[in-house]
Amino acid sequence: MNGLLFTILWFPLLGLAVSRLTGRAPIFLLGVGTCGFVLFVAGVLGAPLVPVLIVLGLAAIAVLLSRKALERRGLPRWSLLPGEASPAAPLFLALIPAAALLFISAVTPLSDYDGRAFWLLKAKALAHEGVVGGPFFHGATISPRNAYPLLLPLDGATIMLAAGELDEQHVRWLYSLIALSFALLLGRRLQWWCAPLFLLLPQVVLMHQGSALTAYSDLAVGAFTACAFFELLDGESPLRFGLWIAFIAMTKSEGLPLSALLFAIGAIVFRRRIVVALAPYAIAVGTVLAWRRSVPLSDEMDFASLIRTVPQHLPQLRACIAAIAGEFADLQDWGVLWLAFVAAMLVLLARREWRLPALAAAVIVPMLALYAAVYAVSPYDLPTLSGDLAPRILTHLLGPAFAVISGAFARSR
Amino acid sequence: MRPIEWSRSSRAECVVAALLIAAAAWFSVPWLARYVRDAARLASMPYDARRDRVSGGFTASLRKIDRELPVGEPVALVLSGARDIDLMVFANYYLYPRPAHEFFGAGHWRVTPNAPKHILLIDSARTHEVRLAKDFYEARFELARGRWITSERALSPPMQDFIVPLAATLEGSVSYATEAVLSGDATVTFEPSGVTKDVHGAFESTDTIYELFRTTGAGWLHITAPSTVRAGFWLTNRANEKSAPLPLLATLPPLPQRVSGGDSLWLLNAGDGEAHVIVDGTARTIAPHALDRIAATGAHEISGTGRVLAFTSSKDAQGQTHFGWPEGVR
Repeated sequence: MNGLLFTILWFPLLGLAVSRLTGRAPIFLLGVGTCGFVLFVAGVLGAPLVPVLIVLGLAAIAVLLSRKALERRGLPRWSLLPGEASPAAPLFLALIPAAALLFISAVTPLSDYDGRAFWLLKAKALAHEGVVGGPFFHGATISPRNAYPLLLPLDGATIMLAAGELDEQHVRWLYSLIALSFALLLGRRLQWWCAPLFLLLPQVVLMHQGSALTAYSDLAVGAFTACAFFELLDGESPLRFGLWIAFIAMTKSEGLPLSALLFAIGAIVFRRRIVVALAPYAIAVGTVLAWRRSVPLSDEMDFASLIRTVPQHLPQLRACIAAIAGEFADLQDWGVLWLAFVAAMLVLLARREWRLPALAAAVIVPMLALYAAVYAVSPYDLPTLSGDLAPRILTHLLGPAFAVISGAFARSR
Repeated sequence: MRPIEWSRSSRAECVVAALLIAAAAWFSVPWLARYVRDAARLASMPYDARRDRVSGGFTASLRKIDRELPVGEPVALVLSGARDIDLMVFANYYLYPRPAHEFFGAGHWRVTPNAPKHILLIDSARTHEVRLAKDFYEARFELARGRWITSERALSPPMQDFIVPLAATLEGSVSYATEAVLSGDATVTFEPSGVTKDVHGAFESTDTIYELFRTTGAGWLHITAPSTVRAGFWLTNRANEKSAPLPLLATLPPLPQRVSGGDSLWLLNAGDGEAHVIVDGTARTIAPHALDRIAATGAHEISGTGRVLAFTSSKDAQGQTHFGWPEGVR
């Protein structure tokens, strides 16, 4: 219960404080990203976690109490209550899986793979050692995927430090609440029915690999990507955009190319203003690269080198593309969401509405191509790709997909 | 670029949204309901008990070991094979902050300098519970249990009193164990130490000496049974997965005996008194029940008195043991 209380207070507190400086944003996700971002940067520079957390908390309170910061920035120009009908029905529909998700997370111990193998193990180590890059990361014990980025483990470590014990039960809420915040984001920024749809997607609420019931980092990447994508659509705040892509880069290894792609698209959308986004993003990329150089690699694959061997793996590449394409039609993972996405893209193109499909395609197509290429040169077999990896990589791209589906019902003015 | 603005929902949108939600719910709601029911059943338990229920005893075994060992002392997670990597990873998670290091097989642990002294065995094919081994040989025995090197285990004709001239549990540059099958009740004596163990019913072992006597070393076996049994014994080199059949002898061939050359010449005295033999012209006394090993060269001739068996052994580049037996021994 301590973990829950801390989670629902600490991250919104940080998110609220940062949103006072950057303009309105989903405060829980902003808090999750900010906490991990600050701890990661400070930790790589050698600062211990607890003092940084204290300073971070005091700074957040100071910002919230500051009169100047209380002058809020304008809301995004997206309708918050889009339908003529009351949002009560979709909200009610969303509450049912949300309640189920929270109840299951509260009661059921963690049983997934990556959550125990990497992410929460790192969270335990960070909380136990109180520093980034302590003995855990230098061979004191088994540390699979030793050089993985640490944004979410640092959030988990923060909760464990607050709860006073290295136990996953305090951190389970974090992952459920990220999913709920993601749902709320989709509902508020797009259409309210997106929230229940998102929370009823099997891959989001059920699956053993990557759902909100696990401690995988894919939903967080998906949520941050959705936030960054919506900033691209808004075209208003390069600073917020820079923060979101910084968080993506610091959350998972594949976050680095994904954030780089988003940054490139952002450079087109924001033009000169992209330099504002560059500040947090450069710090994030620099931190991740410095982190990778500072610790020994364990069982990580060197994808940067492997990717050059794609020409020798063309049959595998074709098979990987087919597997990812097949995932679009996997009803047991997604219902008909991705089929609806394809249909919505066609509707938008038929209506000669180019911007939304172009932005979505600019994110989704290169990333899927990159994922296919990476898996083609990796030792993963096709069943692993189809059953485990493909659903998770589509999770990263849910924001653009929902925007396209929702946008098919909208008319540009 | 201008932001996109959404218009208000149309009836068509509501219908499509309902279909999308229904399609997702069709697959997720039954499972979600099941997960909620499962969680409700766990809700009244303490958290550790829930973990034990979900993990099927895995976490309980780790917690028990963790309590038994001194705080903070590192452990060796010794796997029976690559299939155990997942359990090893999870054990590492639950044991943290206790340092852990992985080893693929007991032999890997043995040859690793400064390996943690506490050995935790992970053998997912047999059980999801992790066990604490008291030493290397127990680890080796547990991980070898039921994993036969000998593929074709042909048994002897019925016998009642016989010897197995060589039996070993040894670890060195190779990993020797003795595989055995006995079809019924018997008394097994490990010589020259003379320790005895009764086995009841059919007996099968992939490391007979350790399993029966909880000891290590090389010697020979004397087996007696209340009624005839059929049996088979094989000396295995587990490191190279090689197996060599061992003869079961109801009587020993008379002296003098001639054996072909090898790396080692073995002299077994099955009698209760000293045996005085001449090996290639040199006199030698063999203690009662002893199994002496001397360096072998070419062929050897052993003469003298006593219930003595001479044989040679050699190991080829593939780790296969070859025996040279005197005439009349198969």
